[in-house]
Amino acid sequence: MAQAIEFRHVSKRFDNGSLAVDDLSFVVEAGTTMALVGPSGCGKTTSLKMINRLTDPTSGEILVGGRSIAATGLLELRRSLGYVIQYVGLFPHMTVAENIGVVPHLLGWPRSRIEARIDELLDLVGLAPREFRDRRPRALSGGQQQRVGVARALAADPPALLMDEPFGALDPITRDRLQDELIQIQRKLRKTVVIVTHDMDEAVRLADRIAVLRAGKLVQLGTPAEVLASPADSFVAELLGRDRLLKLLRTTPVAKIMTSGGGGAAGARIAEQGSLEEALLAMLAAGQPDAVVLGSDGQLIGSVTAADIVRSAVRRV
Amino acid sequence: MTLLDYLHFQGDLVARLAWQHMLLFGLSLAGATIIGVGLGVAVARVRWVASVVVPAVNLLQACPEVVLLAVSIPLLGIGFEGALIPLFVKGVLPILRNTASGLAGVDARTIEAATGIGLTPRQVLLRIELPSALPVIISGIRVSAVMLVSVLTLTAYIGVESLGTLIVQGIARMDPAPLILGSLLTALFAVAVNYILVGAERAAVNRLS
Amino acid sequence: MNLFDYLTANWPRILDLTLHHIELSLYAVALALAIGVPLGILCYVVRPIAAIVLNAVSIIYTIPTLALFGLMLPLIGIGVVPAIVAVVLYSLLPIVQNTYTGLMVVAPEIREAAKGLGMSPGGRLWRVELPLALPIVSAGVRVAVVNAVGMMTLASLIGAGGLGDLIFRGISTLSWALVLAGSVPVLALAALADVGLKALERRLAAWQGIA
Repeated sequence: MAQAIEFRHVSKRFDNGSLAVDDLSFVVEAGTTMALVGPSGCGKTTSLKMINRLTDPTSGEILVGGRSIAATGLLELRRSLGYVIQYVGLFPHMTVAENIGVVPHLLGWPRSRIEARIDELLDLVGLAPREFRDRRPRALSGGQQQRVGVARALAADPPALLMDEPFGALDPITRDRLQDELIQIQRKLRKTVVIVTHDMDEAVRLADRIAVLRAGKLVQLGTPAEVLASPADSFVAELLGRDRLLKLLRTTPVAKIMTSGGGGAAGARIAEQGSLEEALLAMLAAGQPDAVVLGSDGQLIGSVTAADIVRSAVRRV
Repeated sequence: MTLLDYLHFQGDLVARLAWQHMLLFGLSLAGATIIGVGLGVAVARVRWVASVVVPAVNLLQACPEVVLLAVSIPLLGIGFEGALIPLFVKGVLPILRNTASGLAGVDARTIEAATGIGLTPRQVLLRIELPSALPVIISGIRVSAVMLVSVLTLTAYIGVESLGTLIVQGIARMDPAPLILGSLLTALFAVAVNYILVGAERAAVNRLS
Repeated sequence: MNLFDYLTANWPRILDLTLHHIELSLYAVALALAIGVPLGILCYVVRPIAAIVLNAVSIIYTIPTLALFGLMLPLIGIGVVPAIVAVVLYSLLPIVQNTYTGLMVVAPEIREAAKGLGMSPGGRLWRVELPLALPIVSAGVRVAVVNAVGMMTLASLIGAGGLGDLIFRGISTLSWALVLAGSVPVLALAALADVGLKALERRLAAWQGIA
């Protein structure tokens, strides 16, 4: 069962005096994904690392599933949280199967259960078990390594998953593909995920809520649409990027603003769960200022125009 | 007799042997450095030679001192001449190897830039390459120096007078006094030499960065 | 007499001395491993003592081998024991240094992943860090073994026997045959150890999935 993660007035001051995290408080609801974003040095990675106690807060409390992490045994805590990092950290002297089986092994699972779980996870992350089980990390591509990394993190079926720039070291195409797969996995498993990223596109795509940090402080917290539509200040706006409003279009399904009923015979078509951005792109491709919206069975259920889309964005702002 | 008694009675002998040891050491090191750096530069000049010489040197280096000494006698006799082969192998070779690899490790772009400005090859060597390679070269000199102290100690067995003579006498006569004295003094000498050269190495590195 | 004659006449004794030489060297290296590897691990785990320990073994390594043997005599006596002790002391540097270095160079992300997954410090050391340090440790063992074989030639001076007996007798009687009869086996042993252990290193690196 997924568990909620809560930060209560958490601060972290390093030995050299610098304040990395300043009175941070927020809740990650069980089964949702929270992205921690911000420029380098904003404290997002430090915050993540405090959850599995790779570093400890100087004040404040962190709770997982309602229980303070300070009260849980250190190793027990870490074994109950999945952890995925940018450079993966697969153990080169172990096979893929052995890597994935590390935590179940530590927890004393019976051999048969571990083996079954390894196969299950490899399927989940899109790697054929028979082909990949006995391979060594050096024989894997960057994307494949990170998939194994995710499998390894999920091995003991932890209630929460912590990710630190997991796709940062991958090329854009692989990154895209893995983000898609993560969304699929999350749909299936419904874990609580906290992901640190400096890539706003990634945050908008993967997260249910985004926490923007700056110099250790929480500057804004909201759904991607909320943050994109109303950035708290110019700093957040800049972080979101110049194409902030285009990103906003990405977060709204076309069904929300379409005009229902049969439309014209326009050349552009868009599925009802497609985003406004996709609708615009379809119109651009067709060279038409409007598009018809199709329901899940392929029938015409409405239409939308480019003007509608632009107006909707303006209204929101 | 106790150590202090021994020093009292044989103080002159000890002093003479110590001086002899240091003198031989100084001369050997100086000679080894000159020859080693010279040969090292020659070897480095022809890059492919370096890749053959360095492994060969490493191989020879691994040869135990005793074997080198023993092999040297029939060829060169006893006395200091007999020590020449081990002194060369253990003394010159580390410096040669480190000079060659130190020079090989100098960034080619720096050399290119220097030649581009108009420095002659000799100037490039003296002003750019050698100074760059200095830490590595000093490291080689340090290895050599420590080995030389050791070889010179051992040469007592072929009649060379040094602090090693005290050790040999001590073993032969089962007399702890010269034994301990000789061992301690050579040990201290080696450690001192090592530390001085570590300092020199560090200074050279600091000057570069 | 020439070398060939000497060999044919005395090969049992040479073989005997060679085996004895190997035995002494192996004892010394085994002991050095038993002491040195834990010391190296200690330096890694308790970082502040690393400088002191490494300095100490470094100083021992600097001491001329004859002096080291010489110091053993009044402290321990003559025979096999002081010889082994001297060689053990001398072998500590490559082993301690390489154990420490081998552990230090484990990639930081591997260490972080091991921590994050919930491995205990001991578990990390045993299952991840030490296995990954093995090739470098093995290189240190190689240096130690080659050194030990060479250094044991001096052991004969303090009554421990070994191939040094032939070499030193050869020196004092100016007998070329004796010197060779003693030196060649020493060199052969050192070369064999070097080659053999290098192959082991390569095998270890491959097992690690690095080479």
